[in-house]
Amino acid sequence: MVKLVSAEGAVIDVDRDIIEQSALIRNILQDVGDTGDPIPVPNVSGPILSKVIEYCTHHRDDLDRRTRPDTSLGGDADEASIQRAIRQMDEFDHNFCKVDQGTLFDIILAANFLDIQPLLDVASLTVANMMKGKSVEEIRRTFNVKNDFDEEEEARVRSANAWCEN
Amino acid sequence: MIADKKRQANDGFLFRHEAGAREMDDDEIIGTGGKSEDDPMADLVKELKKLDLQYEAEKPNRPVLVDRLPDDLLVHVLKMAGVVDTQIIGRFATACRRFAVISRDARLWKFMNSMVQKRVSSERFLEARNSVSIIEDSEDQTPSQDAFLVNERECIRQLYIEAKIYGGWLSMYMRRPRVRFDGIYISTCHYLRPSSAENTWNTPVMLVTYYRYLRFFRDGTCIKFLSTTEPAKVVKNIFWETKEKHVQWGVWRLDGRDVVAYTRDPERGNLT
Repeated sequence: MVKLVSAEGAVIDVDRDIIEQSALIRNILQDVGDTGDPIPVPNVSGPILSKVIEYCTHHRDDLDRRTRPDTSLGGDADEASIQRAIRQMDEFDHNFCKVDQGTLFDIILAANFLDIQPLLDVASLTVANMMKGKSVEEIRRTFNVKNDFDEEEEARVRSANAWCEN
Repeated sequence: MIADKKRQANDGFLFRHEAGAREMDDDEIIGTGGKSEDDPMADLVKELKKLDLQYEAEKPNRPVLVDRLPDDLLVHVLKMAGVVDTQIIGRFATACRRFAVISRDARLWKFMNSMVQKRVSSERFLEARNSVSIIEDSEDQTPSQDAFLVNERECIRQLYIEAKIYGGWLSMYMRRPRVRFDGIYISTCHYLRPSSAENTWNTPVMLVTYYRYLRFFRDGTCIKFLSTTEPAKVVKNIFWETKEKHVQWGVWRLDGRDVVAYTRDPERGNLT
């Protein structure tokens, strides 16, 4: 058992093999040894931490997801993992990411901080899919961002991105 | 080391994608996005980068949640989007100023170039290559061109060299001839065929339409399918594993702006 301390100071117990999907925690445990001392995770809130643990628990035996792509050659680290995410995203992942936008973004931040690449990838893919097939106006509405271009700028940006359409 | 890790964990400011940015210092040699003659908004992005861009809410009574995500993580989201459909990137960029700047991140376009680069690695390629090898050897082709693409390190080196030539990752993506792997190339062909007439005053002519389907794979293989079946029925069923009659398997290579494909009909054994 590993004890994690969330942002609010709540202690959450989790099996070591589950939370070791987080490269950050795994490294801490390897370096410090499992002393039983609680590990602070100060910028992940309790509810988000529970969500992350839910994900890791579901995929605890999914060893394939844990192998890290080899980046020693200087290649793009994301290439292999992104392709894998798109291929492997299953029903659990879809449902897991069916949360409100704030929660989804918090999951991305937590996955990035805890260094859980597969979770970061499925959550990011969900955000990408939120924009799929949407018009510019719909994307603005999705993220509640205002068009802050002036007219000339917007025309330029539109023409600069026209090639992306095909 | 231990203390350092603990400290990072406590600070909570360790963004891996920021760390990633530092690893790719060489990106700076060739600038970030594309050259202005390729990307009409390159200068605009340069100007916008100087500003401290904040999102403005379209509906002021609701929060702009995307503000929680650092730009580096949105770049990661865009990489996903690029694999799903490049259309998303273009529309994202047009939404607001900050999105526009994020869409020109060099790491995104480096990734996109890498994704369309041929990577010859699988046994499938060697098998397909062997099946068409006769013509390849006799035509004085350079097999070494594919041979080096087996080596990942070489692939990456090649990417950097080309990025320098094109003057940026985005320029390279826009101008470098590439084969798309996310769909099927279809060529529609018509020909007229005289048919038998019952009388001599008019000669009916038959208009025959057939389709040539070509699908390219990233590992250097391709399949060709000639058929009169309409695209709607074919497109969803054309995979490497398709064992239909008249499906030809083979390999392809880029020759300047042309794609050269060699395929072989397994039954008839002829090469095209």
